[in-house]
Amino acid sequence: MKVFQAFRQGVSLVTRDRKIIGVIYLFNLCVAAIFAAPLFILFHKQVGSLTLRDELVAKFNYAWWSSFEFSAKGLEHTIRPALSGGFGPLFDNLELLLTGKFMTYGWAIFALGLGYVFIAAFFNGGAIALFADERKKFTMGRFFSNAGAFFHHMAALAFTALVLFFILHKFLNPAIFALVDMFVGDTLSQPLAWFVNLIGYLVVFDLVFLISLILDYAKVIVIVEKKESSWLCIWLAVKFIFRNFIKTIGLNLLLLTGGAVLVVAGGSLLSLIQPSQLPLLLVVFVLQQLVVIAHIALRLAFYASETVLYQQQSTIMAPVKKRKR
Amino acid sequence: MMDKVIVALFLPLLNLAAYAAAPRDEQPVVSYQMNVTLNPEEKSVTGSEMLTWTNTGSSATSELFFHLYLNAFKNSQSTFLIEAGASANKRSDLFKQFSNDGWGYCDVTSIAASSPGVFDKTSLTPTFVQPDDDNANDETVFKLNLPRAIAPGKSVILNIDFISKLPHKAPRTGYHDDFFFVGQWFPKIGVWMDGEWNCHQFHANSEFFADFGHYDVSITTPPDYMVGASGVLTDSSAQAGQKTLRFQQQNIHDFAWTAYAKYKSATRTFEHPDLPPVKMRLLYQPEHQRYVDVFFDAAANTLKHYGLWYTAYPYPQITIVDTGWRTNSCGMEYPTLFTTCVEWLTAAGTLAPRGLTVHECGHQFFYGLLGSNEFENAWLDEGFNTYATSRCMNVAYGDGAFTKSYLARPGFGVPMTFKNAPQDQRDWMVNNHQSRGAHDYMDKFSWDYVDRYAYRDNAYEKPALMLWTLENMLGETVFNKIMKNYAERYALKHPKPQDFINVVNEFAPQNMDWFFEKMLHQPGVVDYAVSKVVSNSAQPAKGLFGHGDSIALADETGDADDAEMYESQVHVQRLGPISLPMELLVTFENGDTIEKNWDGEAPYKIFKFTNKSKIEKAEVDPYHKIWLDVNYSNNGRYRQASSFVSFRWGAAWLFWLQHFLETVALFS
Repeated sequence: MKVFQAFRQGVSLVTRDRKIIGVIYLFNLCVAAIFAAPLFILFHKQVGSLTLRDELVAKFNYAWWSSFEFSAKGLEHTIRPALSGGFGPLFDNLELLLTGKFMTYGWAIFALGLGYVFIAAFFNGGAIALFADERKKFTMGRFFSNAGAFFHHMAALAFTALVLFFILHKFLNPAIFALVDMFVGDTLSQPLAWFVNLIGYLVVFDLVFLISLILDYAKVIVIVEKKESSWLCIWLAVKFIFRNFIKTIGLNLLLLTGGAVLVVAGGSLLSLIQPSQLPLLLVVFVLQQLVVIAHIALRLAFYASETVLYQQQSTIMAPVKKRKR
Repeated sequence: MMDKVIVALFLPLLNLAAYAAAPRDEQPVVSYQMNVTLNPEEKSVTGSEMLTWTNTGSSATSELFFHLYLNAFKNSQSTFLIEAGASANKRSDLFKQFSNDGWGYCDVTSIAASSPGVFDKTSLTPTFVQPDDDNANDETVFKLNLPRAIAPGKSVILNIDFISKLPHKAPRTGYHDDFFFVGQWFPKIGVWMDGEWNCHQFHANSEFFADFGHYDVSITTPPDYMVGASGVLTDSSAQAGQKTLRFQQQNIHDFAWTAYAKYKSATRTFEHPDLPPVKMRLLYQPEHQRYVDVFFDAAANTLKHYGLWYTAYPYPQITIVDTGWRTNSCGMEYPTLFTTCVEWLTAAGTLAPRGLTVHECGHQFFYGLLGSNEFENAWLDEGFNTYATSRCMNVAYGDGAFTKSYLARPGFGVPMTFKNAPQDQRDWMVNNHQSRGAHDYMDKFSWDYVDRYAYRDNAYEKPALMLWTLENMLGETVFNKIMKNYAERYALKHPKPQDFINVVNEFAPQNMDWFFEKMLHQPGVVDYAVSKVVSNSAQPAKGLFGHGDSIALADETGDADDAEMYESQVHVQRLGPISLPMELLVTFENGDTIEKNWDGEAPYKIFKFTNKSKIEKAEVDPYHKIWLDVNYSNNGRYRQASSFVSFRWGAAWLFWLQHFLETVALFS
């Protein structure tokens, strides 16, 4: 019950402080738009006058793309057929989490992503601090002052996360799949190879999940407990997770299910409509933005629910400690 | 048990069919009788071969040349492996699979020859020769010196004993665990033509060439192995824990077989009112049960469309082998047998494995029946078949769609098809031709191309696009006649490029030598573009007009048209080195259209128009006849740009980036 309670309270906290979603969304949109602008201009220059544009508004044109790709440079390489589907953009990104191939889209996107991690860390501090204090509602000043106050901790934890994910994808991931290949051996049975590989990816997924979980609770602990050492908070987070293993894992699986529902619903909805006319384009644009907003809300729901669960469990555990003394 | 009953009942009929259905030569050039045994533990085949070769040429020869293709995998110094490693830059990877017991070779243990009325049975010693390069380590061709010359019309009988050690997962042949695909595995005589032996070494970028003849091969394997082979099963027997299957076929130019205990098999009959029936036998991997109908459907579509368009498949049986994952034998053609394969998991809506199956089955026509020289004119079979594959796929299945395999690893992937990104069957050819077409030209021996990409382009994509272009230039009716006549005239023969060109010239309204000259001998690509479209108000005429008393200033003549006129220009560029005649279609805003023909020679051409309306758009090659054009998207241009398309795809890209940013925020 504690898991569902934490989830419900987390969602209600995000709803209460929904302006945080707005702040993060606006920032996300602005950053993406800055990068999209030159691409839009290039697109306009490349195809705005071509007779092919009639076909391109209805569907992706592979023949055009193969010619475009042949002479593409930099960001232009990120235009690809997968953008045409509702699921393509979502799956492309989710694939990165399991493969770690963040350089797939070139240095510019990689650097942007890296920068965004630290900006998101800045926002996390502000958000978690508000979630941690049920009495304090969102104000812009409170949000940003908290964000500033905890930024050094959040940045340190983000840096730690990056290092851990680097280690995961640079060393553990190859080791896991070397084991997979060893197990698969020379088998002629592709189903066997397929399922062994699937297990490999599930292990990677579990590691990604675990790292995120630990660092999420470290963020919560550093703010709730007002600890000075981020490293100590990571250790405390590990202890907390393993003491409350079922609850912490259960909560995050619940939230992940929400994520999966979001991907399936968003992907399906976006697959339904091909925006060949302006009104349809507006509908699709609104749907796309709603998916992004829902994604941001879900991420915040993770933090809020984890904060609630941590506070619940630490209140229960605190008297026990006192009695021991 | 049931299998045995069926075999017993139908063997006599099949035996007859193997000989009756195929066209019968009076005097076959070659006739092979072989008894071979598979040794699964040693990964080898031991065999004896009785080859009867008849000199059907016009001059005598005292030498015989043979291929020993399998020796390409004997060591790292073979011409094949040197070329493969040099071009792929992956020699170590290539050799890794051969390490320990993986190398393959064909060792001729004895040869004796006799020629009735010319010389008695004599033991001979083979000498390795290298007709294509000076690589003394290459043992893929040997020659025999006969005691006396074989005159035209005379035959020589050779008794050859050999051991073929199969390589581990070599291209097109070899073993993998207890799976065996046995291709290019026996001593095979070259082709005596034009007074010399045509017997090239085995190259990385080349396939094969041989005479049509009769094959009668008895294959002995352990009893649990399922065997598929060229030809028709005409006899079977069991003895001492082994089984022997006899396969026979007339008028084929190679023989391959496969043995694997885990194969499952299915049989269907291809039937069409205008074509002879064909028994289709499928050997498939156990995990591919759900693809059985797909394999059969693709093969049946090939037999139907190729049969109706070109020439009927004349043999009673075709064997389809689904070689399975990572065997390296997938996607290969042999007479009356071909290999195909499929991923265990394919995306909904994908055309796999139809494309591959149609292509390999299509080789039964362009390679199997029209036995062109794959060493010297690879495009005559690969190019023709690539063209015909796309035509057949278009008719049978329509457009494909872009497919991506997520989390792709060897043996793994989560495939997804993007229906909003449709792919014409020809798109991939244009794509490859654009990136590979710049550096070489078609008329070369296959190992002479600058690299394997140039070989691929000039053997597959460019000739296929050339044929699509030619079909559009000449019209479908004329082109169908050309292809049908070419196929029927040269079935069971060895056509050369000039043979096809002659047929084209016979049916085309004008001589097309100029076209083939550009295609065969000029490197580079075709690319035309409309680079600029402008319309401006025509300036009213100024100055003096008329003579004598009627001379007057332009605005005083009174005969000026009141309607505003526009002077327009269409700038067309030839961006590729190869030129072809072009059509230009100009559409005006008032709906008027003007079509112009242009020789396409100039690198830059400005077309000028005066009309009551401004130009709306201009298109070069408006009906997309020239499939050789590597960038068709720049062929048409509006006078005025529109932002909508940029918003449409800009929004899609923006959404992806927003989601990307939120995904990496996981690390925050």
